[in-house]
Amino acid sequence: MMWFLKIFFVIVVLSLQMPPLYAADIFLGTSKKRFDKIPIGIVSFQVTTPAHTASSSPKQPVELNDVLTIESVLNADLIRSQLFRVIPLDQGDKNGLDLSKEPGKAVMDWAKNKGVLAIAWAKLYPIADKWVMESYAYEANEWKSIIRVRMTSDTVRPLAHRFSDKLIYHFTGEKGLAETKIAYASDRGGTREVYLMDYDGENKIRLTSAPYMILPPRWSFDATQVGYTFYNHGVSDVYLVNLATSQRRKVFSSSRLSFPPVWSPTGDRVAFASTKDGNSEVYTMHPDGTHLKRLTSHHAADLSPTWSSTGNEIAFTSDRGGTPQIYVMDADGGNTRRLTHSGDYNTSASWSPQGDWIAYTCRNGGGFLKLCAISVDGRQQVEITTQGAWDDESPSWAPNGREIVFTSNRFGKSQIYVIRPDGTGLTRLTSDEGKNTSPVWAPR
Amino acid sequence: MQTVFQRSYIVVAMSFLVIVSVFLTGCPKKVSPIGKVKSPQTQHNGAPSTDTERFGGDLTSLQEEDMPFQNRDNLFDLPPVESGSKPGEPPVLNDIFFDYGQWHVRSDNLPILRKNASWLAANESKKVEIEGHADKRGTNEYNLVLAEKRASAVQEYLVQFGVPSSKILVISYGEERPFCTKEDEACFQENRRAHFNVK
Repeated sequence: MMWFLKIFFVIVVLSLQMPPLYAADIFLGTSKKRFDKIPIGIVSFQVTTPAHTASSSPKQPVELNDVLTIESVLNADLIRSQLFRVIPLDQGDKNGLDLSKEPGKAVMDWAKNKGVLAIAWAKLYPIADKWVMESYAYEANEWKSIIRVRMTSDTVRPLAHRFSDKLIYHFTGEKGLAETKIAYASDRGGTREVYLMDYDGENKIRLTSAPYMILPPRWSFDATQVGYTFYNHGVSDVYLVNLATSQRRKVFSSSRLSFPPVWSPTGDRVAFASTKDGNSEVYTMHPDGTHLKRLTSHHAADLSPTWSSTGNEIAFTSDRGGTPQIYVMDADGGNTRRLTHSGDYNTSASWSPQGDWIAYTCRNGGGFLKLCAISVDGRQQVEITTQGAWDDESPSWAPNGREIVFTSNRFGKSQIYVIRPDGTGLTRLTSDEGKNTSPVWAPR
Repeated sequence: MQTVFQRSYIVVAMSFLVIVSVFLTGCPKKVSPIGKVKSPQTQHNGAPSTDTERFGGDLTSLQEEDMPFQNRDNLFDLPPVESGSKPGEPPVLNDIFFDYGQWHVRSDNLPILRKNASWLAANESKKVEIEGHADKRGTNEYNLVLAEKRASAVQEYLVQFGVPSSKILVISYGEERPFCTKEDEACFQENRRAHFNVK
């Protein structure tokens, strides 16, 4: 009892000294403004043609474009991470340095003079039908080698992404985003299909070839499978496609609508919405389609489930209060409570992988859809996008919680964009003639 | 001086202990009488000396009981189905339209549904697909569900009007297959509809 009173006393004293909750800075996973970014120099990458492969490789002649691509992709990856400041080598620097071989003392001295903390350099050459990149990184101050990795790939962009993620991991201990993918729906080929693309909008791959209507895709918890629904004349067939083997299997089938499954972070269960019992309810089952359990039971529509980072709770959309709002329930369906209270249209929640925020589609005073986020305790709410006579919708968090991918028709047809949770860093990922919607970021 | 300080310290400490001991010993005593009040044995054994007697018996007199829901059939006061078009005539099933964000059939649409039901009743071999549609405002998933609720609400009326549910298929197209692609309210209204396909 004594210790209890002591702790209580300490809590009271501490809470008196703290500023009120609403005065606290809202820190939404992005870098703080005055965060000191790591200055890094990218020394011109080299292309070599090993003599023993010169005659056999179909990659001949080595194109300068590939080298430029690798450099610019690495540059873009590092800047987008918000963790690095890339210090360019101007022409004067290049003239004074021997850049034809692994950086030596002269490059380190240049780096020290410029205040550059890290140096990245790579050597690129073809072997058979693949690209090989030897990647090197150094801490300039101590002239210490920190990365020495040889990578092989069919194309050059993945090499740059891997290099970037290695640098980010070395300096921050955080896994980078550069190798992550985004699944989405697009009708760029005529019919609406499921596609994959890299996190920078490149390398688009079509996953389906559906004669029927298709419902928005979802990732498995380990990003090895993508789920989607064929919806044909009122019947839903839910499929999983294994990305490594391209094998497809049907895991669930129902009359009426059944949306693709949303994996729990631990992978033991999936949640999904279906109207198979009359109106839309949220269900869970094992990923193989067994152990089906109905979580909601309400005459209103319950849909769009999203798991908490622990897998203990599920947020979802329900119009049981007259307008669609975000609700949270325990993963067994109990303890349901309403989370959003402002506005008359709040849907398609996405629970941040760090667990503290839920992003969702809200509607502004002008009747346009925008992106909002609310803290899981409901105390703090922010508008991520606010202005403009267009719709922003379908938010999905990046696995590191620093970016959100979403759909917007701000320049005509729906296209896919990313934005930071504080509303900065808007980047367009798709810009083809199709209607591109419903992006979901792959977990790592 | 030292002894005074020590004494006052002891006094404070002891009074603290007294408070704490009250807390510690108080808790279990509080629990038991509540437990007794709730137990049915003490309620009905007629012992007059228990504390609860003063409140006239059971502290929680509020009880609840579920009532059966009223059958929805009784909520509709429906006229008999008119004898509509004759078998073999081309289908004349008119689409019906919905208010923004709503899935309830507007009362001005009921005559259209009655007429549709009459035709289906008269053409027993025909089946009907009800397509639900939504305008582009709103999110994709919610609109798919909303449009299906519209089609489903129409299905309920058709069944009420005598069409066997086995002849009806409900489909949702959400905002995916618009009838009109302009950006104005007239166009949005065109797209908030239930469309009938006779098979």
